[in-house]
Amino acid sequence: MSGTLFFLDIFKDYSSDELSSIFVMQGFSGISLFSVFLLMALGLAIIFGQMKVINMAHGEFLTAGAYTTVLLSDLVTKYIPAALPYYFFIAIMMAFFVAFILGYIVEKLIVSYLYERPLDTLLATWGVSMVMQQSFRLIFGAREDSATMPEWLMGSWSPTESISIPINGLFLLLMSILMTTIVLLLMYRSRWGLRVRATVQNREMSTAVGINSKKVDRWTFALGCGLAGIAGAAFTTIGSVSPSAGSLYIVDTFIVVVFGGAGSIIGTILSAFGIAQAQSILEFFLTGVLAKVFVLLAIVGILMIRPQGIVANKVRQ
Amino acid sequence: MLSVKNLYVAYGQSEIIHGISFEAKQGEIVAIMGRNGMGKTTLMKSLIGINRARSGHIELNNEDITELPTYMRVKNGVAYVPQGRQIFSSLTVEENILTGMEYTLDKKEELLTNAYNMFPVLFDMSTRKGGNLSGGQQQQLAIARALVAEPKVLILDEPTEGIQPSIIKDMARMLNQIKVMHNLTIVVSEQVLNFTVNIADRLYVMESGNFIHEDVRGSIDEKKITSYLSV
Ligand SMILES: Nc1ncnc2c1ncn2[C@@H]1O[C@H](COP(=O)(O)OP(=O)(O)OP(=O)(O)O)[C@@H](O)[C@H]1O
Ligand SMILES: [Mg+2]
Repeated sequence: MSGTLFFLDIFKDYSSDELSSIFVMQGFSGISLFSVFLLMALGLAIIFGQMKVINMAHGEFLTAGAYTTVLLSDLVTKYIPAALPYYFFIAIMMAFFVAFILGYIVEKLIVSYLYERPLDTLLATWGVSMVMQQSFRLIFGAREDSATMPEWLMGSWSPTESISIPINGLFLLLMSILMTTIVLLLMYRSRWGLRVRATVQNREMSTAVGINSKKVDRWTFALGCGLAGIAGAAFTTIGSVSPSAGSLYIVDTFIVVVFGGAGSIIGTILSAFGIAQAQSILEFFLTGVLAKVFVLLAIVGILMIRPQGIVANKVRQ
Repeated sequence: MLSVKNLYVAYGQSEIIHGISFEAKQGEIVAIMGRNGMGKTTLMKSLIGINRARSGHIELNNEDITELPTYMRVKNGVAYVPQGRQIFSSLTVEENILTGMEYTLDKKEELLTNAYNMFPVLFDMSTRKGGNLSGGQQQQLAIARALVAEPKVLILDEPTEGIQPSIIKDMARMLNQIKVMHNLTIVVSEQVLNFTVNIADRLYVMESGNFIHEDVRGSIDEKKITSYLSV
């Protein structure tokens, strides 16, 4: 009861006009968060869907992608400043490939030996995350780094006087929509997607139709990590990078995946959107921590009513 | 030609197949009969590689495939229709057929047309989810999925299980037709004798992981086999 009253209370200092502007603007700053969440959660969800592995190091692949972007931005600033407006597109691709290759290696050297043992994969990937974090610290130092943003990403767009929408948020939104579309196309229109869906359904039978399921696992793991790398590139437009940057996102990402209904891509999208928006809008009125507490309480409440998540994956054998 | 030599298969400590040997020539249907729990499925799964051999050899056209993983056996020309069909229930009928084309994708259109000609009901239901098909339709789908891999050896584990008698006759005719058309080797496990008699060029009776009886086409001793199959 007091929660609701308190809720109404926080809006009382604003006129309804101001409130709607605030909602639109915070909504758009929530979009940046949504984009990073979505890219992270997509990767985590396809890895979990394919091999029931929870990748505790997923955040570090974001960090790897973010550092890749920072490095490229430093290099470009130093040697070819004329290319500064365009480098970010290359950075996104490089962030993907660096995280993809790291993911491929981690799968091949560690995760592939632990598939029948979920608890061990949890511990092993947690170990990987610590090793990666420490490596970042050794290579890049503990301080925060940030990428130089191209001029065109920095501005904001004002459709009305009281509303201004940051361009980087719009850009991130487009990027995450594009990536989600690509993932959906891969999943439902490509041979690789057919292999993944067959393996998810019935691993034994999928090998008996000729699918090399170990190879499918490895590529799926690497692809999921690559998506986290792209999330890392996206992250540099809204924050600065430190060795532990990714680990700050991992908990939120787990929540997004569980809330969405583990393994469902549509659920992941809806859940990333809901959580990012709620958090961002509430953050304007409350402190960050309080906003988070409210969002978490709401999620716990909904999960108590719907433990399978908002979109349940119907599995029939 | 498939040749199995002194094959032993075990689940952990319990050995199920105790040194089985047989050959299945090109264009030949070999039937393996046996009561429930005698080890038919265990043997079939070890032919496709889902179960590993404890010892012994499996050869395909004189090439040893005993150590090959399942997907490599498929690549080398072994296809498998498991007991209970195991079609991918959330994939459409067409997607199910496509999963069988891992190594024959270059002939996709032709193979798909052939499959639909052989099983018209699958064409009518091509966009439906595999899980919504009836048992008999699923069996046809599982066979189509195996055939589009253009195998040299087809392994069928109890294809008549749960299928009504009138359709069992059609299935016997179809298997004979497939055998002739593709000059295929077929290894089939069964419990239904009149079905087996209609298709088998050679017939083994399996009991507790051993072959205890062998007959060839034309001289099949139905009485004796019936007595083996009844408890
Ligand atoms: N995964 C397994 N682990 C341990 N034992 C098993 C396993 N699968 C089968 N068995 C045992 O192996 C023996 C042979 O089983 P199998 O499934 O090969 O028989 P079957 O001849 O195919 O029977 P059915 O006609 O009922 O299909 C049985 O005693 C069974 O309990
Ligand atoms: Mg069986």
